[in-house]
Amino acid sequence: MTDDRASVAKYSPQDRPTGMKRWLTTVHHRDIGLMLGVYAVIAFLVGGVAILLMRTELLSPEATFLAVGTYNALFTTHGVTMLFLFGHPIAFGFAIYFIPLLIGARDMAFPRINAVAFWLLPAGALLIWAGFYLDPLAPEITPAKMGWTMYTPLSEQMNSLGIDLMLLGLNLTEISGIMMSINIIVTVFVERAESVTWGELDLFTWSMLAVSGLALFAFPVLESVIIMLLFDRNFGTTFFTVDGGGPLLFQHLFWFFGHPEVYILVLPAFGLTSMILPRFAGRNMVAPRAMVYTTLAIGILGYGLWVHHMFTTGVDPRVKFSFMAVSLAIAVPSSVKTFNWIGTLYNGDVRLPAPMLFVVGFVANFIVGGITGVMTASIPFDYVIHDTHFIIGHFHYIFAGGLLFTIWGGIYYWFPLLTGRLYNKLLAHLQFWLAMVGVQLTFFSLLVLGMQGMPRRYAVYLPEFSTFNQIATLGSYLFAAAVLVWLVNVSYSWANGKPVDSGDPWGLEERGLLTPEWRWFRERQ
Amino acid sequence: MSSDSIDAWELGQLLTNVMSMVILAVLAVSLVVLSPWGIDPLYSTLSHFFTFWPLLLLAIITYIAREKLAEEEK
Repeated sequence: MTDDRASVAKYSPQDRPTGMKRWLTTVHHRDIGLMLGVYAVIAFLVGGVAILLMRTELLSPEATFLAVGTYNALFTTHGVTMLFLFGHPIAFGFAIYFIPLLIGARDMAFPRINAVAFWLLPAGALLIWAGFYLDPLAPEITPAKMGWTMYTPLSEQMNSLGIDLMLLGLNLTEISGIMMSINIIVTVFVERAESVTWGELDLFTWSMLAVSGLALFAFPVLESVIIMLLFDRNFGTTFFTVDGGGPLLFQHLFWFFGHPEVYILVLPAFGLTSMILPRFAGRNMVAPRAMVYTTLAIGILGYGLWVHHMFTTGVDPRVKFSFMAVSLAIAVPSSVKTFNWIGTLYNGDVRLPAPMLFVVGFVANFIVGGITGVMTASIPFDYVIHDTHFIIGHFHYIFAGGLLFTIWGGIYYWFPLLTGRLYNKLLAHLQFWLAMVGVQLTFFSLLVLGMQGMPRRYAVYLPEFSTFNQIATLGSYLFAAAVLVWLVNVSYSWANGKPVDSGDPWGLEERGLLTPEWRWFRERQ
Repeated sequence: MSSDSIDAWELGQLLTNVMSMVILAVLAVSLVVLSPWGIDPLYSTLSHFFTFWPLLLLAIITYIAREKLAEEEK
């Protein structure tokens, strides 16, 4: 570590290469953070196009727009792309850019590992998407069509090289995630400035520390599962075959990763909200220690409830009951966070610029996503809605209405720091309202469809489900319009926005709410 | 505040995690008392293991976090 840090440190900023060489060789945390962000946005657009095609198909009950197989390939790539190529990288991107600034570190603890972790990701994405762009060249390489959960025996028996390439790509992205997690943990423990004690640590860093701890134990499990699946598919092993380890073994191992994965994705949203919301509420976070305790509670309990994804698989009821208990118990820390955010707003000097709109929007969406989550934790209710659109609606309230909203909030909040320019306020507000209405139309419709009994992952459906499917598609178009407005705003403002004339563009110092990254920005100006 | 004493405000904040532990404990006890599916040596043991290990880990991590945070305030 020392050699690595020393060799990196000997380069002063003016010694760094310029142009393309800079971006290809950089090990600096801010460069890597930015590259992770750009990479994640590209992946987000790919996953977004996939869902728009799917939603267009779902305008009518029959498969008129896409072939059923194409639909299956699109929902597989949408899930894998949004979770592994967008969700993790964008969250880690924020962490890698800002944690050193927030804790007074010079860089990440392992700068070169940081760069390696990033460069594994484009290769991973190319492998994951290979089924689509290699299909016209090599017919044996078709896109994977087994869903992001990769359940066996389907994923073992499907004959496509595209699945193997996707599994190899997932391996790379998970290795990258493990590297980033180790780097974040070591950085927070070892590289903090002396003045930044555990009590002084900001809530975003706490959240990313919990995320990294979760990822450190969850990602290797997925790695193992993927390797075993690859072996089953290609070398005749029987880890998950029906007459070998069995499909349920796959599900247990997958969800041992898969449920912490949900918290790996939502804890960054919690951290960003806890960071941004108090700045525009004009007061410090209510009960900050409770926020730390609940973050750790989510980190621990997140490992104890994976079987709630498998309630309908015939697990012994006594065992299911214990997983229901943990699933209900984890609602407490999540609710406490929500009450703390609302409590922080109460009697505050609330301002509503775009970053605040997005984090408050997140809180609203998280309440819906969270409550529907508690509902599904109940075994009898889960029996009714299992594998229906209710689950899709619940999860997307957390992910699209949650993580994505806070990511947008974070980008707007730190836009002056990232670019030295101001974003267009009108476009940002327009984007928020398009996205907020889009989320409600799309995902509330999915909740209703699920309650009506429409199963997930079907390109064709019964005519009685038409109306809510059409409303959901309309919502997804509004959401797409929001994304378009965001891209226009960010790219135009980055190039032509009004230059920032203050190191404290949000007026935080006069309210006693200035945080270390803005101090760094002010000194740099 | 020392790491040995807990004031009402600190207790309130700690209760956030204690409530999760109470929920786990109550449900585990109710499974024993009501015993709707009877007692099975393997599955009942597994059930209690899957309830108590998160409870125990949560108690330990909450204690450590509280000690760390309180230590630095001294």
